[in-house]
Amino acid sequence: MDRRTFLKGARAKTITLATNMPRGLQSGLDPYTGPWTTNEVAHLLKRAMFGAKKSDIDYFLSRSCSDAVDELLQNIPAVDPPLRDYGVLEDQGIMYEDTAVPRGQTWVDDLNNTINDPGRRAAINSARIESLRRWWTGLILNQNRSINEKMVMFWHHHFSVQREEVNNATHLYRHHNLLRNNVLGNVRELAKKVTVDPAMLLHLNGYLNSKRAPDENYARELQELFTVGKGNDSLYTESDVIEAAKALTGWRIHNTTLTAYLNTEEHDMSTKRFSAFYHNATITGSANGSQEVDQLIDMIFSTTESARFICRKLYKWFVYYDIDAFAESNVIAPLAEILRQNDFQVSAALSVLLKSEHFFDKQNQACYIKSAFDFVAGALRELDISIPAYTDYENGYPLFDSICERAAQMQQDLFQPPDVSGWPSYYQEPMYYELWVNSNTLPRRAAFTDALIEDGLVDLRGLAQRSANPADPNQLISDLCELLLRYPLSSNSRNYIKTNFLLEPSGNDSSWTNTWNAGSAAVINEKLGNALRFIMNLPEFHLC
Amino acid sequence: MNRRSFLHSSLPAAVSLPGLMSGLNFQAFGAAPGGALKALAETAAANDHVLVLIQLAGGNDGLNMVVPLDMYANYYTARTNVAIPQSKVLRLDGTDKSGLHPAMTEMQQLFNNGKLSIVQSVGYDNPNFSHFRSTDIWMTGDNTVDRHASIKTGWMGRYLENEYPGYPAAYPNHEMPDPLAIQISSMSTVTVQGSVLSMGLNITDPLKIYSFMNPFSDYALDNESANKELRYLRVISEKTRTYSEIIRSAYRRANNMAEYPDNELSKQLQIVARLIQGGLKTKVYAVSMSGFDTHKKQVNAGDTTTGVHAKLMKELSASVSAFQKDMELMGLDDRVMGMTFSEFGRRIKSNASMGTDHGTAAPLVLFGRHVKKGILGASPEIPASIETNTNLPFQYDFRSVYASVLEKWFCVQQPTLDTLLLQNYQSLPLISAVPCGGEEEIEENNMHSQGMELKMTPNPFSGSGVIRFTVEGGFTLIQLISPLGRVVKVFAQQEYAAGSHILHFSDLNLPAGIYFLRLQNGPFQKVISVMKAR
Repeated sequence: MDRRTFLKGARAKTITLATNMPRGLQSGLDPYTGPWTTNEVAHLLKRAMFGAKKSDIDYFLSRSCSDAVDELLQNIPAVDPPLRDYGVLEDQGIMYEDTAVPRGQTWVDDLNNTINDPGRRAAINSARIESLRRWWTGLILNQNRSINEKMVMFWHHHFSVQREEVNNATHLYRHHNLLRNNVLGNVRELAKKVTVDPAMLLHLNGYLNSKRAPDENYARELQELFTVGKGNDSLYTESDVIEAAKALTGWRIHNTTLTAYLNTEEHDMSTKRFSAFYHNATITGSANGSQEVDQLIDMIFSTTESARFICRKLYKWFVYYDIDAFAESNVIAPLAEILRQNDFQVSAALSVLLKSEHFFDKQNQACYIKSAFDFVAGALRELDISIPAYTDYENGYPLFDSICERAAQMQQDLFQPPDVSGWPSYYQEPMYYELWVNSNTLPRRAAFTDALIEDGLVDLRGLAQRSANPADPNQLISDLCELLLRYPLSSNSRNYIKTNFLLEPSGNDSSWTNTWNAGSAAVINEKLGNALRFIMNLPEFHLC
Repeated sequence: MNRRSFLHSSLPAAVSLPGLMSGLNFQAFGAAPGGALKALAETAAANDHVLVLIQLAGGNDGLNMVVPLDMYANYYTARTNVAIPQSKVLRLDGTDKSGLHPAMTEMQQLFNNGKLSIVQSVGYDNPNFSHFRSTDIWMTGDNTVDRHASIKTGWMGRYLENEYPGYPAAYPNHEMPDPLAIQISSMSTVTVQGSVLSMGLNITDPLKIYSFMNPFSDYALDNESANKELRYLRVISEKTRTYSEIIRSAYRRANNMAEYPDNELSKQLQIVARLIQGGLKTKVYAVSMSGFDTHKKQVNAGDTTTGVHAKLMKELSASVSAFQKDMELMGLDDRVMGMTFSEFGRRIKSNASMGTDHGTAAPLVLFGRHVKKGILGASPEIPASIETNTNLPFQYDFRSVYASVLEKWFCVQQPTLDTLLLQNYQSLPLISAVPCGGEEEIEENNMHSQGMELKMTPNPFSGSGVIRFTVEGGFTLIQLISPLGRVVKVFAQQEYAAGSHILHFSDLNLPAGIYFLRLQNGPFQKVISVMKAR
């Protein structure tokens, strides 16, 4: 093909950025009963986890679709806490030692709130927050066959607490743990806990909310971003925001325990009255701990809209960003009913969604642009790069740090989503997922995959040996593409890769067979590396 | 195609709506005569002018950068442990009101040579103390009250999107063969965000080569959802490849001609200089410095003219000066101007850790051959006795500075100017360049501003009183600013005839303390402090 013509063609093309056209899907929530091949398993794993490893694909190929989803949902591991990985800290020429915790031990039981020197406290706090990000990255890279890490990230996106606002390692860890411990549980109960979680109180000014000066920040986000949303059928009023703010007055953070408590002096004891959207509910003033919080959240979740809102968010996270009228009535509405019938257990809704015809519909495959963590963690895992255990603070944390920073440069920064509403890729019209890739992040993505090859992190021969017949260049290219891309390239495209990277100049297929069988390791590695780098630079590689 | 009608029909709703919804309540019409003449001078993609934006990330301590000599006693009392000794402050030609931080010798020289202007107390009406949010506000020019309607596009992104419709599909082309904006940094900023795409490119190493081989045009799947994304990815990777080649060859064609100091800002500015000399028609370059969040030890205990902030001031001053010299040696100084900005200034009172906490308004500088010489605005008024969290009131809205740059450097006209900035802002006398800069000098403007009468009686005031003021005529704004730097009361926003006026107020229920009264009329403004009685 003439490259020049192609480029011209591409340049003249106009991109249509908005697609709110009906997509013509006819599939609903009935269980999927079609073929169960590498394609379907990879689709499930790339959406429910970060990347699909060959070993995981093989594992699930021998099970049914339903069993695979069950296993992903049930396999929730217990995790060990983050560790002190830092030595003596230095800030502007002053050295600080964290005397509370030795290196290699977890710091989560020390609250770092008894040291007088604010400089030392701040230095320790920053170092701990850094270790927290490394630890989490390590957990993502070391994920087991489970939906766990994808869902922890979902809740982080959903509640979107930012370290810049919270700036306290203990609060951030406890908040993270709260999400992790309720990852597939009852979303209504999670909302109650998050409402009075110190990190959230700090993040959205709940700790400043008092009866004399109600701060509506959290009350507004609670409804708009966390529970009922701004959909057509979400009819809460401005007055509901004000009344909810009153119900939430007085929550403060205890200095010594760093836990939340209700300061009754600051709490509004009046009766809060809500609109018809909430069935004109009232909440009587109560000085009894979280009683009003519980009533408020129960009231919000008693609307049909609330379950639908949660289901739409899950849909955009796992399936596709555009919910057309068909999907709204045939997927979202029944799924929300399932969520309600199961007392808001998220696992119940996810189980039905991920086993559904709709999820496996061809139109829902390969149309998802990888998030930064899909990209970095997916590449590391799919290339079978050996990764230290997440508890390995000496060898693991430095690597996790670099991965975490790479992802941050690609616009997914752990503990610092860009907005109170999470990552715009899951809500910002018209681009949605496309927001992940632009002329800033694309070079960083390419630099990352290039570096994996250039730094010799990939066992290239080992990877090729996974192929049914690595000596056959056609088979090898097909297998590498199957491993890394969501759908087969055309034969012309596969030919292009084969000719340009595996074969000798003007050689035929046997020139690769000879190289593979008798060539030096250096030559084989170079050819494989170039081919792999090329495949990972393809636009197709960003789809999952 | 008719450019003007295009602008009106095609500006994305997301860009123009919020400005209209907020009701253009901040007008500053009647800035300067000669609007019709300027209209004639405006041309499409107006000129070959280039803007270099220097972000001072973390919140720059403006009071130690531009030291108020005429307020020195109160300045010293408020921040004794970080105050720059009066005798060390660098004096500036033609003014004894303010001087520069002792480390800024190069900028002192730029000022004296008429290549630097300073705008005092630049801020906004509803200051946010979060780095994150305030940076967003500065980069977007957000004027919304409701955070959920907040503006996601950058002020420069909107300008570029308007100037170069159809980006990226129709670019590069003959009219604009180069990237519209380039950020020399690894992180992208909101400044150049357009309504759907970033209008800018990020580079850190202009020589780095990415292949982004994209030789396939087939769409293997019968799946429109997947093909849509694949099409998008192919366009982006093609643009990135095309533009990185353009950048690389421009960079290779040029060489720096001035000596730069060895620091991070200079490294970025050196790249910018080479890209401009290499022939890029790129309109905007964004570079940045970090480390301005000087909560502690911003100065050394023994000598407050040294320390973290002094190093930053030196880096800024020396790098900008070297860049300006480079532009002159390359013969490009006619085309290039620069501007600094920071998300906020710092608190008037210093803290016990030899540092300063998050504040509000602060000075910014513009540099280049065509900026007006002088200091626009008065030294910020520092009351004799202040609370820990007393903040400076703004004299100039940062969006008035943006408006003036767009109008006088890039020749953007009304009503486009208001559309891009989401409402009307003051037009300030900062740039003299042909074809659209203004005649008025900074000192004339200052004299006029200070000459306006503005008086509140009684003072201290309680619930009611009288405000006396004189105006030139036209749209007038009178705001009361709280000790936190926030506008808490708008007394007037309407047209007034030229002359003296009296305005009565009552039922003003505010906590006691120091407040600031701000009068704005056309391009003039004045701020005085008033006291709310207990």
